[in-house]
Amino acid sequence: MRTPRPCRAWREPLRELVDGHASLESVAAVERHAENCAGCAAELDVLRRMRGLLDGASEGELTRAGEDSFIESVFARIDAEAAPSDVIPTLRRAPRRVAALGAASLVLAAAAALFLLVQGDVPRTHAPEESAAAAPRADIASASETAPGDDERPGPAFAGTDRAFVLGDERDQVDVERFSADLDSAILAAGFDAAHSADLQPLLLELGSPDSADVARGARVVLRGDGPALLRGAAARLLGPRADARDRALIRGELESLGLAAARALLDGGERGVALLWNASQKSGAQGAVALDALIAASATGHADPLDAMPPGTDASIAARVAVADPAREASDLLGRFQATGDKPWLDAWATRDDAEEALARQLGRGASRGTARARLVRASSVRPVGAALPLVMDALLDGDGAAPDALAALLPLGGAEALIGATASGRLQPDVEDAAWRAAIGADAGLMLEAALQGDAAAVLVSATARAFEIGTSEGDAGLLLVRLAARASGDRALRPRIDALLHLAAIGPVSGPIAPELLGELAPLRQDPAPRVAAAAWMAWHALGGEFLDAPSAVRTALRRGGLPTALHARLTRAVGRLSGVRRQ
Amino acid sequence: MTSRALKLLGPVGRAGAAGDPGAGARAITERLERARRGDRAAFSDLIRIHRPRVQRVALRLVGNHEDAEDVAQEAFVRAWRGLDTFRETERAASAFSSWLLGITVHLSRDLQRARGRRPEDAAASLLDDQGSDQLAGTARTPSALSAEAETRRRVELAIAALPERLRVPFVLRALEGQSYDDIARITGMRAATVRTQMVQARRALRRMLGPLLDEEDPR
Repeated sequence: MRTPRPCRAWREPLRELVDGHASLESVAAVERHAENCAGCAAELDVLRRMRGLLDGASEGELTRAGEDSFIESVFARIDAEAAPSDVIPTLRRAPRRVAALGAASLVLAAAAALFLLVQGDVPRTHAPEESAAAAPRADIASASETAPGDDERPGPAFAGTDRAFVLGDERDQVDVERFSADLDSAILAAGFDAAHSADLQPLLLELGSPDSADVARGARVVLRGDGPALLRGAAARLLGPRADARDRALIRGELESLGLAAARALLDGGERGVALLWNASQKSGAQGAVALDALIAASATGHADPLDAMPPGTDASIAARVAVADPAREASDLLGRFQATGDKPWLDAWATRDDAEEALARQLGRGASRGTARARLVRASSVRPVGAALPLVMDALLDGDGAAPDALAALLPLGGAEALIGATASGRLQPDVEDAAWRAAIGADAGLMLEAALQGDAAAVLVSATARAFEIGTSEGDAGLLLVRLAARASGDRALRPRIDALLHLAAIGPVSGPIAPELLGELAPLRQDPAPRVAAAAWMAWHALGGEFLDAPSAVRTALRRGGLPTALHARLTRAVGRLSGVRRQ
Repeated sequence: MTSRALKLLGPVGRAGAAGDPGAGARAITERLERARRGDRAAFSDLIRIHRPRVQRVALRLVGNHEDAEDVAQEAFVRAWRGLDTFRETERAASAFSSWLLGITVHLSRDLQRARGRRPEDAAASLLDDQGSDQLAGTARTPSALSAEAETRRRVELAIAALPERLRVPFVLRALEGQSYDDIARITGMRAATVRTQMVQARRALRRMLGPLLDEEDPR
C-alpha cells in the first residue's frame, strides 16, 4: 500500500526538521499534527532518521593541525604574496594536464554530454546566477579574490586547453536539479547497469554543454581509442545524435563490444541509424542479439518507433517482435501490417493483443472486402474469431476459399454451426469445400455441431445435416465415438431423449467400423434396454450396424434386424417390437 | 558560537554567552576593526574562531584534509587581503562569517574542478582520513564501530555523490546551519534558488540513503 503523502501545509516545517533548523515549538507542532495524519507521521519518521544519519556523519571532528602552525602558514602566505619576487600562486596548483590525458578529458566531456542526451528533452533553464557561474573561468587566484555577491564571480575551472577544446568556452550549466531527481534511472536508461551508476554520476553532473561541434570530434577519438568500454559507450552515445554516415558505421562496428550503448547511439541517430540497427538485427550472433534487444527496448519504452525506419525486406518475425514490445501499439496497426504483407508474424503479433477482436471488427465494419484482403481477414478470423466476421467467412466459403473452413470452425459458437448446417441444406457449397468445412467443424467441436443440428426446426435439415456430420466425422476416426458418447451420457436426461433417438438412429446409418467399434458397442449395450422403445430401437440398429452380436436378442428384434430395409422403416419396426416386448414385460 | 570560540574571545565572549547575546558578535566586530588596521593578533583570533567551520566546509567540498587545510589557509589569506573591501557594519560578525564561507566555497569549487576530482574519490579519501582518528578515540565494541563506520561511510558517500551545486547549499544549511539568506549571499544565488536546490538535495539524498533509512533508527 502506498504511504500517504504529507500535507502540503506541513512540508516546510518537515524540511526544517531534516535541515536541523526546526525550533522546538515547530517540532512539537509537527508532532501534534502527525498524531492525526498518517502521511505526515510517516514523513516525520523518515526525516528524523535522515537527520539522525546526518548528525552521525557530522560527529567526526576533523583532524586538526596545530592552530599556531596553521596561523603561521596563513601569515607566511600573506607575507610571501607581499614580497616583490613572489610570482607563485599561494594555492597549490592542480597538476597541469598533459596531452596524454586529453582523452580522459574528452571522455569526461562525452560523459557529461551523454548525460544531457540521456535526459532527452529536459529544458535547460538558466537562472541569472547560473549564467554567472557558468562564465569562462579565470585562473583560481584572480577568481577567488572577489568576494561572493559581487558582480565578478568565479566560474567553472578548466584544467587545460584539452577540455576547452572539447567543450568550447561557452558552457551551459547542467540542470542538475532536474537531473538529479532521476539520475539513476537516467543512467540505466543510457544502457549502463546499476554498478556503473556510481562511477558515472560525478562525471555526468559536473560538466556542461554538448553543443560544441568539437564534442563530436572528441567522442570519435574516445570511441576509436582503447579506453574502457563504459566510457567508449558514453562516447558512442554522445556521437549518436550528431553522427554522419561514417560515424554510424563506426558505431555499428562497435555493437558487439559496446552492446546497448552503441545500439542506443544508433537509435539516437535518427532514421538512418535505426535502419542500420534493423540491418544488424538480421545478423546472427551477438551483434544481431544486441540490435534486436535495443530495438525491442526502444519500442517498449516509447523511445521512438523503430518501425518507422524499418528498411524494406526486414524479416517480419523480427519486426513483429519489436512491434509487439510496444505496449501502446494498437492491434489495428498490427492487423493492418498483416493485411498489407500477408506475413504470418504480423498476424501472430496482432493475435497477442487484448483488443485484437475489436480491431478486426472495426476493419470488418469498413465494408466488404474481396480477393486477397478478404482472404487475410478470413485468416485473422480463424485466429481471433468475432461474430462480425461470419458473413465474410460464409461468403468466402461459398466462393471456395481454402481458408474459410478453418475460419468457420473457429466461428462455430458464434453462429458458425447453424450457418454451416444451413449452407449444407441449401446445397450451395462446393462438395470439396463442404467436406472440408464439416471436417473442420466436427474436429473443432462435434458436440456443438450436433447440438445445432438437433435443434434445427426443419426435420429435413436436421436429418441431412446430422447425417453429413456423422458420415464425415466417422471417417476421421473418433468423431463417431464422440457422438455416441454424447448420446450415452445424455440418456439419463428425459428431456434429451428425442435427441438421443435421432442420434442413435443416425448412428446406425453411418459406416462405423474399425477399432472404435468395440467402444461404441460398450456405450450402446445399456441403451438397448432403455425403457423408451424409440431409444432402445435406435440402440439395436446401431449395435447391428457396428457388427454387434444379436443372437441373444429377443426374437422380435432379431427378426426385424435380419429383415433390414431403409433406416426409417427399420427403426419403426424395431420400435414396435421393443414396445411390444416392454408391454409383455410390464404385464 | 562554539564554546571554543567563546574561550577565544575571553571575558567578553563568556559574558555574552551568559547574559548579553550581542557580546560575542561585538567582540568579533571589534577584532575585525583591529584586523582592518593591520592587527595580526586580532586576525589570528578570527582565524581561530572561524577555522573549524571553514575547514569543515572545505573538507566536505574538496574531500581530503590536505586540500581542505590548503583551501582554509588560502581563504584566510583572501580575507586578509579583502578586509578593506568588507564594509559591513551591521551584523558584521555574521556577514564576515558568510563572506569567509563564500570565499571557501569558491576556492573549494575551483580546486575541485581544476583537479577534475570525482566527489566519490574525495569522499573515500575523507573517510580514510577520518576513520582511524575517530576509531581511536572511542571505546565501543568492534562490531558497533564497524557498523557505525559503515553507516557513516555510506552517508558521506551519499553527500559526496550530490552534484556540486546541490552539495554546496546542502552542506551549508543541513550540516553548517546557515540560513537560506546566508547561503544566498555565500553562493551569489537567490534565496528561492537555494530553497529549490535544497529540495532537490534532500530528495536525492533521501533516495541514496533509502536502505539506511529503512534499517536505522537514530532516535
